Amino acid sequence: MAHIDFTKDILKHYVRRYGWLPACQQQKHAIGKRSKRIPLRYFTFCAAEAIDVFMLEREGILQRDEQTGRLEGVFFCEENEEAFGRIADLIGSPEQGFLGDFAKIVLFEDDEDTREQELYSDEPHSESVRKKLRYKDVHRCLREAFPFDIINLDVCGVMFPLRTGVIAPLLKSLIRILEWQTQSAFPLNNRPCEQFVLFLTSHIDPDRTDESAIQQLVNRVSENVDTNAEFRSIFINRFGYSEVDRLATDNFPEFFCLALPKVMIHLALFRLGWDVTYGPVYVYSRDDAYHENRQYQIMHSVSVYRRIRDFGRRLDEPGAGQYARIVTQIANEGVVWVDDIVQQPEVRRELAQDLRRIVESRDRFRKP
Amino acid sequence: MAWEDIVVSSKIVGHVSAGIYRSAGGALKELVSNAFDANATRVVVTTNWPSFDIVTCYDNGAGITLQEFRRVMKGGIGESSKRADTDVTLELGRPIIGVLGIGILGIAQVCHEFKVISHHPETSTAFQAIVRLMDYLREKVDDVDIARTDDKEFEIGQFEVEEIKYDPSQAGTYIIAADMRSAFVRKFRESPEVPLPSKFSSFLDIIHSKRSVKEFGDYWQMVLELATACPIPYITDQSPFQWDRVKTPPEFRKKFEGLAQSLRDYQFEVVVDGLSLRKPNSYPHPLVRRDGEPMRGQVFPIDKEVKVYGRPLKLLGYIYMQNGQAIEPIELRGLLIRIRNVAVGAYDPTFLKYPNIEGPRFNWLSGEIYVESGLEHALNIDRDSFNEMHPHFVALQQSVHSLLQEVFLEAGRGVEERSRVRQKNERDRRLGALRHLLSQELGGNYQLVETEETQLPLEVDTKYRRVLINTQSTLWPRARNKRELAQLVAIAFEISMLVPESERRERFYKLLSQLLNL
Repeated sequence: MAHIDFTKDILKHYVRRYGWLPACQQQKHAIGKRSKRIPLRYFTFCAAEAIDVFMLEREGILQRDEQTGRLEGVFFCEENEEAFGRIADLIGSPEQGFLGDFAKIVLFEDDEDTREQELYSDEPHSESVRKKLRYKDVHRCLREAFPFDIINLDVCGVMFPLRTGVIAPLLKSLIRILEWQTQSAFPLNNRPCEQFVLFLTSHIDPDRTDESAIQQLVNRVSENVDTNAEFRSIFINRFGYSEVDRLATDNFPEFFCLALPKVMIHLALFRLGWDVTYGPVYVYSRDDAYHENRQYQIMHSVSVYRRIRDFGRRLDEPGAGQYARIVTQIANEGVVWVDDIVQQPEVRRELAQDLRRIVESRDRFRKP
Repeated sequence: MAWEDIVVSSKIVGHVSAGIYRSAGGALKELVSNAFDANATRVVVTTNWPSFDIVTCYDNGAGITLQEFRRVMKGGIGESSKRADTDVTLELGRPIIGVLGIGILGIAQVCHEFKVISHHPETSTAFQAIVRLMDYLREKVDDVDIARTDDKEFEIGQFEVEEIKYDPSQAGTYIIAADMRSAFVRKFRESPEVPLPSKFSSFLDIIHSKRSVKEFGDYWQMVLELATACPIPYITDQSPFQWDRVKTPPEFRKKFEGLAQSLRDYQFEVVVDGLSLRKPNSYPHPLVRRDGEPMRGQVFPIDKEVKVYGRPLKLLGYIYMQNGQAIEPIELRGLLIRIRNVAVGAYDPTFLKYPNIEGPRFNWLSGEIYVESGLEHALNIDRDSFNEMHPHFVALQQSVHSLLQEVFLEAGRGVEERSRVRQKNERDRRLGALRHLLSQELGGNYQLVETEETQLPLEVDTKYRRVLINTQSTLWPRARNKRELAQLVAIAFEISMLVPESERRERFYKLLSQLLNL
């Protein structure tokens, strides 16, 4: 994929500033007293420019240790070795970086080569086994780093790539990290995470999305249209018809931005015990670097997860009503098309200026 | 892309066999030296603390071309052409400090393979290469009988290269090691999980608080080693000394400040995991002695220019002696030799094998010698040690040892002086306490007066409120401590004689107890 200069990309910065930042501020406020003792833990795919990290630092969400000046609580994941080093240089003192393919790290499972083996041991390993063991080691490090207060899965690529089916590696990873959020306790006070924020990014490109996955997503949304009168009414009101497969053909981005959150909310509410509040879903277009005159879209969703009390130990099912309510709300609110908003000169100017200031403050800090 | 063999000359093989660097810091030092030679102004090393599973080294220097890289890989490692003309200077007045390709052997000791990416502004070209050295290189080369082999070159690994698009914003060289060796990672992970601060002054405060940086493990040791070794400015910018706290000839101060200025002029910054390094020397340290007195020190300059066997040897440096208190951490004790501003090895606590036994006084010393010319040929290829038979090394050793004799002489004088001052202070304190006690017991302000005019060795003059001690009395013991003790007993006795007989004994013992506890 062609590299985008994120220091000048105002489309993405709109999402940072008006989507991510308010959600982070609310999370910071919500965890209040705890954050004074334990720094907020932020997991990001910040790319080589690390704009989000420095925006959050500037806004006081991420803080530097008073004594050492280290930026606390920043964890990042990056697949590209070169970008990895640059991020480490920019942040200067991240808590930890995880190098490798995110899905491979998260979904690592032992096989006969790696079972009861460690990468950093006295045992010599071939290059191919070392590669596997490396993922095992990073998997362990990442697992131990959980939970986080803010997870920014600003990943690259489509959620359901061709020929992977609906349970694609990225979705599987997402499920796994939600499980880890559920099971882990904060390292300093050994208390479970009660609330966290999840930013999810996905490319939207029907030509690169697995057909069976699209069909299953269509079926899931159709169920709501068929069984929930309020949802159906909002759907028709918004799109002018009730056929979900038609929406998937005519307006794939809006369809996807409705269907993916549904999957996530269902999983969180019914399997893992998290109540979800969905914020706006942002969409904008990018030129396809490999095909002239072709575009794809990028979706960013903002959601807050709150642990459901006594989950799994109740006879009633409060999630059912909640699920319908959230899904209806998403359908009702629709998506925010960032391309349209940033057409306004004052918005462009303001975003460009803000971005420039963040980059300046980032680079100023690095000067000796 | 295709894999090509990395070959080195047989003379290099022997050094590989010997293990070219003793530590990770030593290996990284050579990469930093290469960056310095490439006119970089910033070198950034990252280790992914606390995982230590990826080490990167980026510099913004001139980069290297694919052709040059290939030439180095094909037998150019360790060749001396880079520094053939020893007077060559680079931009910003920098001397050449590195040796071609040696950094590659160094980094290979901490990883199985690594990637090199270089964007070369002069030719607007770029390439990336993967370098893979043999896993059991040392064992393999041990099997080679270098003396008997006719081969001039020896294969030590493989590399593959490809040209990539030149990007001016990425000018420089980037080395990425993501397949780290087990020994390196395990040692570093065993270190206590203490993150580096982001200010070097904080780093220094922390290491000064410990007897040894070893307490923080290999990671902190590596950082200190790099800070010590690299051609970067001192923490205070000016010099290692707070001049108002150290005794030194004024002409040396001027000269040394000039040297410190040249380090600043290089405009070279080395950053490790967000910490911008400085030379860690700052004396005196701590600023207050354990006894509460201000810490002071003395600087003994070395400023020498001689010819040894017709070749010039020019030295500028110092041995700093801290007044009666050890320098901490111990890693800063000893003597550090810098050739072209780069440290050769670590601080040598033996001061180039000084033959005399001086005990703990060695702990008060820290020195640096900048070799401005000469000694280059005495350097072993690991750039970490010297050929001790080389005439330049011998001359350096003699200079240092001769200076050390002066240093230890002065140290002895200092000990005597401090002992004298300490004794005087103690005596003054006890006298003050004695006066106070006398005033409490007898009322009013009594003075202790040394005289030769009393008949008895000690008399209490209640009229003029004086305790008269006849210092010439032959009854006093000659040894000072016994004499003082006897005088205290006498004072207790004379004062107890002033009260009615029935109370005397009790008073005497009470007073004696009080006086002996002063």
